[in-house]
Amino acid sequence: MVSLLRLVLLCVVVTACGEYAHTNPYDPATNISILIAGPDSAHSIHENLSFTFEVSRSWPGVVPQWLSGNDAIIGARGPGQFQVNGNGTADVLVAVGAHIGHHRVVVVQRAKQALFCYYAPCPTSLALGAAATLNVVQADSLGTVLLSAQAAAQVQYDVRPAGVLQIMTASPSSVQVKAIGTGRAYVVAALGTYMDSVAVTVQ
Amino acid sequence: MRTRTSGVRCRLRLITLASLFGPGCLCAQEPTRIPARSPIVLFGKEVNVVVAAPRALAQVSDSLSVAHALETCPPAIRASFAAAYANEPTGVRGASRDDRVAFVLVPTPSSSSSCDASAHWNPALLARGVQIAVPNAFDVRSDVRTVEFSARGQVLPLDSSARRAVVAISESAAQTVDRPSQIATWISAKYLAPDAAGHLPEVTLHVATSDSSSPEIVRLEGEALRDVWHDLVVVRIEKLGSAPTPHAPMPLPLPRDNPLREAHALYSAGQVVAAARIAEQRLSTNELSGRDALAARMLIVGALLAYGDSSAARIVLTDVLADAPCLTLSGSQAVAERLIEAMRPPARCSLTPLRRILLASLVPGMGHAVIGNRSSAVFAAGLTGAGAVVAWSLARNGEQAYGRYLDARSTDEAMSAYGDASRSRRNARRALAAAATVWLVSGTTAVFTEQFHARSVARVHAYDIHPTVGLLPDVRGGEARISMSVTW
Repeated sequence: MVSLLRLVLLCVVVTACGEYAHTNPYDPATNISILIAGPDSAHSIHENLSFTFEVSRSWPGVVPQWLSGNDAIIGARGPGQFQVNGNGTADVLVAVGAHIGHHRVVVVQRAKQALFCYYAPCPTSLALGAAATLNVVQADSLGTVLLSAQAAAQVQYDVRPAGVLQIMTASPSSVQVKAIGTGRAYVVAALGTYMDSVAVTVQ
Repeated sequence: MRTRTSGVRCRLRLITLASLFGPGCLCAQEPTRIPARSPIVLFGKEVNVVVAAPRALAQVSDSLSVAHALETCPPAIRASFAAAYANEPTGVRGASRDDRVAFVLVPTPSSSSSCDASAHWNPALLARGVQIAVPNAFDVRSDVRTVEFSARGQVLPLDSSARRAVVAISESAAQTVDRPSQIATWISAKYLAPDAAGHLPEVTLHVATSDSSSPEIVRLEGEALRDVWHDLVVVRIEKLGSAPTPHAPMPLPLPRDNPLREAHALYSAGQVVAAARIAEQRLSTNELSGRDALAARMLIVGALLAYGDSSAARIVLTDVLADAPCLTLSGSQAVAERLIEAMRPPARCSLTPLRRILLASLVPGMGHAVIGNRSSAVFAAGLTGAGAVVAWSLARNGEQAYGRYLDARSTDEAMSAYGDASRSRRNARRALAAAATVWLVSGTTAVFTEQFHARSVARVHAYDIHPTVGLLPDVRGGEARISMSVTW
């Protein structure tokens, strides 16, 4: 009797139901929503980024995989952990079965520091009436010099105390000073709240 | 009545004996023969058993087969045969209105002689006692004779009045030999009458050679006589003539066939024999619808019963009940009804209410079961059950495949399992739909079958008082009209 009821029930179910539900995460037809939360931009090389994700349902034994869409820009360091490697646009990916969630991150270095004589030593003395050019490089907040094609910021220059050196020309990457008096003076480059200085003695 | 030679009947009657030996164009025509039954071996020779009424034998004796057979014979034999045939005054031609039955043992034809041997053993000629013998082929020691004839376990007397001497024809002259008619045996039809249930007796012939003391036995099933009886019924109708009927003919419904309507009019007027003759002729044309064929047979039955010939009536009633096993008569025809009741074949003549069929049809096959169609019921139930089992099995396979799909941990594995599951479910659904269709069709056909059965039963219920409504074309004064008649 039970078997007969099962038979009838199964037949009714077979007749009544449509197709089988797509519920396996490895089935591309399964409807899965993956939402990744985290920064969508970064401005410093070597900056660490953390992400989290939410998925519409979970499956026992199915471990989400964190992936980078471009390791040259963002490198995966662990579950939800990435590090910026370069400028550009890359996707942070989370794979659940056959389904992948995307989160786009734009990396643009932002100048936060201005550094004198980064690549070569600066002149420390000048003869009265002589002029010298002091090179300046800009770096992001973690100290990485701005990579090429990155826009440099405006740097404010100053001489302290006045009367020893006079700023002749100034640009984001250099400043030309002339010795107008004897003594010791500092050329100061200010970028936002960050400042760097170099001491020059005029004889 | 079914007469296998009826198609050439009229033509044959126009052919005289002289024409047998006339122009050769006659010889090209297909010979007419009485169909023989399966050959049997008798005294080491293969023979055919021909059972025929004189009417059929007369037709064969007139047939072109004789001329065809003799065409290859020497002219002297043909001349001798003509003389013997002409000098045989008591042939079956005169006995064609007799209701005796001839049993003839006919050796299978041999073509060893240039003179067609089939002519030697023409059953009609042998029944007449005429035998053609080509020179050196006539061997009296091979003659056979019937020693004993029995039916229903009783030895029956042979009808010696039809026994005639054999006329042996040789190349030079005809010779009459006075000895028992070889091979041909006559028996009165009354010993071969059907029993109350319409069954014909099994007949046994004890046959011996003239020089043998141990007879051999030839058994013929009762149904072998049925065709003979169909000829005998015609003979009996012809014999009835215009004698007054001892019983009043039963009323019968009006048929649709126009000649049968005329027969019905004659029947209603008391001329039952004339009506039966017309009915027999219409039946032999095989042009009647099933309903009119039934009416024609009932006209013959009515005529025979009016003269008290229940034996011949039973033969026709067998055909009637084969087509309409539920035929009944009203209470005023109690005698005929008892006759029919005793012969009625196994058939369901009851009716099943529609509600019961519909309720029963809820169970696959039960609709047919309650109306007596056991085979259809078993078939429908089996097919429905098989479809359900297949559907269940496929559905279970689908569930198992879906389980594999849920456990799959790769895309290929998941998609393969899902494909299997979907395919199984689709096939299960088809099997279930097929089973449901069979279920539905079974119930529907049960209802329609019962309705058809109900109409069939109603059509022959109380047949003698069955109302018939007919439309008759009527032309009067150049104006076409239709008149309606209602007949009980």
